[in-house]
Amino acid sequence: MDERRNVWVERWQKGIDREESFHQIFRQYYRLVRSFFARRSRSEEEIEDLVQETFFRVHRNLDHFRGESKFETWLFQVSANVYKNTVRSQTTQKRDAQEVSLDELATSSGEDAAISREVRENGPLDDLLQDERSLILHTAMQELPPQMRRCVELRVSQDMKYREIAALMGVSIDTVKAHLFQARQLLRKRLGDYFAETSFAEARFADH
Amino acid sequence: MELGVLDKPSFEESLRELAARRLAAEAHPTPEDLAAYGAGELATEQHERIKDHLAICESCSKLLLDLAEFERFEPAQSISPADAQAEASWQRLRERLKEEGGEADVERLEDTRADEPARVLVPHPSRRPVPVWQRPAIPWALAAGLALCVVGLGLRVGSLGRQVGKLSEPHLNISVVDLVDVSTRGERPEVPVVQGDGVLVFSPAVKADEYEVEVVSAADGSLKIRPLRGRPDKDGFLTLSIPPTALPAGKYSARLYGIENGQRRRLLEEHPFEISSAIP
Repeated sequence: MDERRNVWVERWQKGIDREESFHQIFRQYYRLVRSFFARRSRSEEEIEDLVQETFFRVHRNLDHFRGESKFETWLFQVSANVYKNTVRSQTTQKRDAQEVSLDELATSSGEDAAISREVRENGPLDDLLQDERSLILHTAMQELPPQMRRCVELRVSQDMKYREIAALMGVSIDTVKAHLFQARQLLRKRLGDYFAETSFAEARFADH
Repeated sequence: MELGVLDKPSFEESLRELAARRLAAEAHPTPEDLAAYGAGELATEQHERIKDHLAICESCSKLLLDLAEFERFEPAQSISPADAQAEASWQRLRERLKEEGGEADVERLEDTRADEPARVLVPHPSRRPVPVWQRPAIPWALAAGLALCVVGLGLRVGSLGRQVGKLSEPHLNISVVDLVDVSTRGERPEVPVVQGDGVLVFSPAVKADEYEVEVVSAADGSLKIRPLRGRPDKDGFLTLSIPPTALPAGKYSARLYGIENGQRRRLLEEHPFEISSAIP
């Protein structure tokens, strides 16, 4: 049997005892979905509301799930969209960030591109780069090979573990370690006169 | 670099600040984009762009790590009934599904109108229920309400009288199409087809001072209905009425722009739809 198939999803889609089929789907995935929201929400009530909304949408749209991806991947997308709509939009509106599709990003032309340039040119980053030290840091980071730079950013900005960086970037843990070690050497030479010692390439307890 | 030099700022703190500033000017990928990235399905340029974003965005990074957890998950085939919390939650969901009907509106309408000829209602298959908190009591009250809540869209003015008349008739031949932001849904939507009079209903997910709606040809991107500016009604809906003669049969795209400070225009949503010449 195709490992991607879920027997209860198939029974639902075939119209076989739909209530029982959905009950089983709910029981199978309740803890997974709940954990997803529990990591992001503050109150029990909010977590439960988000779980309810997710399964409500799953129920409403399950006929449209074509099995082109794993059911779990589709379930993640539903959960993430519920989260985005009901929580994240409230908490991140203070930032002028929005979610747009890649296509939209890729095809943004003329006016949109001009707006993006405007944000970049007049935005908070440029304010910061007025400071010589920040500009030197920014330049030094941009001079690193892209994958190395990203590893440093993930390690420092997000305090990610080696294995998490490896998973996010699609590389091995050893590659992450090597990137961080080399980056530290390069940045030490380049920035030693401007910044205090860095420790981002040092493994921490339970880092893996 | 020497330790203990007090006048040197921390490398880590400075880098975090730089990342935060960059992130403030960036757009987040959608969950669908993240899933495509995780599956290695993106073109190189898009793939690299997501990597750059992940490097500075903790929120999206954590979403992607969760996606990996979802994909690793193997559901148990037999589940202990001892999970009282899950069962209590199921009962709550079950009640809601019974009350609101979790399935397509088509089925519900057919059920409630079983004693009437099938041709009486022509609910379009692509019409999906909008979220409960955005939905008035019944769909046709919504349609009538929308027709009355004129939001300044020019096309509406010309067709309003006729449309209200049509809406008040028991035999409807009007396509009311909910255009919920694609990025807010976890599935790939079907392209709605408008037959006869069409009413496109936007539920803008992103708030703006005002909105503009325009319709372009899907084939060549040429402008078919010039940008019309308006504000949502009290329920948060923007509607665009399309009389049957306004557009020939074909494929189109409705674009929703947010207007800020009276002039800055930002594309918020784009919804493909079809005009069908076949009027049942």
